[in-house]
Amino acid sequence: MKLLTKTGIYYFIITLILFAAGGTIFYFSLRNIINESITEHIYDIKSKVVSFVKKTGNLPPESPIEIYKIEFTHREIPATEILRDTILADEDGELEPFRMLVFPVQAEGKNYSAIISRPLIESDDLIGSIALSLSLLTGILLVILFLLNWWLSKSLWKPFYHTLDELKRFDLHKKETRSLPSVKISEFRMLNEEIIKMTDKIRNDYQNLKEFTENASHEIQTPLAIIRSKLELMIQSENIPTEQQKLIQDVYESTNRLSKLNQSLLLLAKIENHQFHELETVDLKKLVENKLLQFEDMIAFKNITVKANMEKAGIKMNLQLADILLSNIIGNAIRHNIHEGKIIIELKNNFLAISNSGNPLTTSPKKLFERFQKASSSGDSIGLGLSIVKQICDTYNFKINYSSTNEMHSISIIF
Amino acid sequence: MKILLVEDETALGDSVISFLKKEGHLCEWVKNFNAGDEKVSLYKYDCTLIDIGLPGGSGLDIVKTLKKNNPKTGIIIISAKNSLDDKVAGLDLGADDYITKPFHLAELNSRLNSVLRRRNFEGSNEIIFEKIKILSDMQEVFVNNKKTTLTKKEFDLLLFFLSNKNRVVTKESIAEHLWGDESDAADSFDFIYSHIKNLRKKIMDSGGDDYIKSVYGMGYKFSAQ
Repeated sequence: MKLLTKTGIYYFIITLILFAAGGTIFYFSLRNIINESITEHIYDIKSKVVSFVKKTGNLPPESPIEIYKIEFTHREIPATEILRDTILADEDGELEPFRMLVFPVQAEGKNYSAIISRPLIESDDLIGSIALSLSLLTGILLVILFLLNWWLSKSLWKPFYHTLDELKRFDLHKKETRSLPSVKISEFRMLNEEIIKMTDKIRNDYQNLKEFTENASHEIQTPLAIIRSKLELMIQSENIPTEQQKLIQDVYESTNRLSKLNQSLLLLAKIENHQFHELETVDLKKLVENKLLQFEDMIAFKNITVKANMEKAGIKMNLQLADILLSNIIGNAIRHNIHEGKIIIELKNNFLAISNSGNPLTTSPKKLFERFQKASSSGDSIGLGLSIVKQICDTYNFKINYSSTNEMHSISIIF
Repeated sequence: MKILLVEDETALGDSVISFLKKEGHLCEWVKNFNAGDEKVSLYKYDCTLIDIGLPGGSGLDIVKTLKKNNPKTGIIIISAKNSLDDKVAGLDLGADDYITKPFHLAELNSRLNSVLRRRNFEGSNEIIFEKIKILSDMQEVFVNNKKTTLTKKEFDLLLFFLSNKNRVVTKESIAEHLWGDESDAADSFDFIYSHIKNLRKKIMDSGGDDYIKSVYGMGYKFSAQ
């Protein structure tokens, strides 16, 4: 729910309560005022009657003044003056509340009781009209509130929504810094300033970390090259004692492993750093076919059957990355395959699925794309292949998915 | 052959020089940009190995000087960066090959030999070893003067062995030479072994000797009996 809708609702509820309370107070005070003015009017008429009788000695005619009825009844005993509300039948025979004043009058030597009465406004009518006007007011208020909210969110809250949009669009990987416009409202201005500070800091830290990874990997290359070359020279020497051969072999293998690991990390860092920026339309079908040719030996060695059902597909991306992507997925499909296994490749304009037979996963499929996850017992795999694949997909917003059925592992990408 | 190495890392340079000297090459080694630039301006070499990141300047500028003064000299660029931009820039300037650290010495040697062959014989050349004769530009192999058909991989393997004859060539360097980055997809070195087995069989079937010996379980050595 929007903040303004929420406050709008609160305003509305408060208005309703206020209007209900105000309406009640209004009702009672209005009734009081009306009643008082009626009473006053009745006494006015009484004094007119009394003065008429005093002047003329006769009773005034029983004709009504305005809506005030005047009646006279002959009484033996003079009546006591009384003002009261009662219910009487009106001309139509309907019962209605009346206020009447009874008072004694002496005319022509006789005692009369004079009755001045007038119908009271029915409280139902009063309540009805008050309620009507109040709900009308409420309605108008609601419309005004709605318009106000709309206007507020359009103008007053505009910088806030702008900031929000910018935040939504914020991408750590993109280098561009979006500027937030300066605003006059101090809360929003403070918010913007803090956001800019925060995002700059995040970006800086992230950038430093990435650069560190890349630099560290670079710096490791040279000592690795030295270790490797020294070992290779050492191997050339004749007559190495058997126990040392094993030691050298282990060191050499670990050096190679370290070197591959380092190259993969460097590649990951480069992809993260967007160092592969040239884009072109890559003919995926051709690239897959090339890859299969490159892997021909390995496929033949494991006696793997490859079924490819491919349509032409052009994907806009960096050629080198496309090559690495396919190398890793197809390489994986071969490495984790069984002897006499199969690989099924399906390519349709923006969908690529590569499935291979293989033993069930030993790790959780969710962790498959994480770094250093080794899905099989292949000792020389370093566990970065699929993270590189994932990283490439993330760079281009491709959707990558892993699924497995009947000992077939499938990696699919929607471009 | 006369080789110039321009490399600032002493330990690595040592290894390269010591490896190449055993091949019978005449090696010179300088460790910074100015010395490198001076050497290539003053003397003639058959091939130069140039590191890009040098104290005092970029190895690419030495390539430029070299192309101006001695365009016939072979050039192999050595770089710590496996960057396509550097590679393209280097090859555009006229370098013959590009190799990334950390490299196998056998790989460097193989590329060096390939450059020397191309430079010295302008493409058409023969490599002769015992009973084997290779016409490398035709990709043809003769054993005992009999034409032997090898697959592309077997041919590359043989050439790699011959570039590094009488040396121990590790399985890793063979895998990287034959399959490059794709070598990871192989489960194990069984796969290389099967190629070596086939190559050995083809040579012996044609009347050659068993030149390939397994060494320490680490690699192979191609040498005469």
